[in-house]
Amino acid sequence: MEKIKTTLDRPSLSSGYIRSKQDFKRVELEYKKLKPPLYSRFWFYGTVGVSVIALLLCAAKITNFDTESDRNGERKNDIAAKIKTSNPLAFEVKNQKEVE
Amino acid sequence: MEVNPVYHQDSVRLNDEMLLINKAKGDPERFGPLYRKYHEQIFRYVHQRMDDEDLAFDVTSQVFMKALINLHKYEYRGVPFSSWLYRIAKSELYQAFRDRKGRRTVNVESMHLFCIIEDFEEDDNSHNRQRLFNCLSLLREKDLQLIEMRYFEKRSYREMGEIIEITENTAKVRTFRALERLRKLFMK
Repeated sequence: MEKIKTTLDRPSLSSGYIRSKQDFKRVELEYKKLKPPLYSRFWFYGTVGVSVIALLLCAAKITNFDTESDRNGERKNDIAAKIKTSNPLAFEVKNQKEVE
Repeated sequence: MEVNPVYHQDSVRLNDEMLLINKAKGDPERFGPLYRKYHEQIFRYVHQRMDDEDLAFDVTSQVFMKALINLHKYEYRGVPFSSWLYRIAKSELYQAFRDRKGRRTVNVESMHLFCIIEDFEEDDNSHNRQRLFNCLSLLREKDLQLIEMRYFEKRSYREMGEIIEITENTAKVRTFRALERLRKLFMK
């Protein structure tokens, strides 16, 4: 920094003069220009992150549900086949009851 | 020594001010009353430390713009809004000096010199005033800042501490040391 300059008894500015220089519109305008954009706000990434995680969880849940229901169907068929091979008579009786 | 009465606000005024701040946090257009209230104080603080009047007005605008951007961070924790603004003003001022837009200046009134000479218990004459005036520019920036706030702007140690982010007691001790250094330069 340069050497400090000293001035003695500089004429003081009046309050009226300083007030006349107030310009809040300019401050507002500059603020709007410099206001951080949406993507640089701290809450933006939080909201986006939470939404992405929620979507991923939903997608995982749906695909998991589909594979589980497929597996359940396969398991039912397996059990039916086992019953049929081990005790064909019982299987036919059961089927007849179901038809009735 | 008398201190600046502007700083000393009662709790009713501080509460009213908090209402204005909370309104401005929600809507920047409502920052207007706070701008009008503190514009002169902040301008005088800036202008005291620089020579160029137009640049002082620019820096003041910059201070309020920064205040508006960071207003959501402001919470009353014992530091009044005015002191928070002075902190921003201090940082903007030094930024202007670093950018070589302005030059650090100390504006001294003869009356201020008289107060210091009185503290030194020396004769108040034109020779001593001139000597003291010359010594001021030899001080380190940190010391000058303290002398300036205490003797030229008549701030309380508490307010000084809040502006330069130190405790009231530390402000008192550092001002005393700065004054001692000034005395040594004066006695040389």
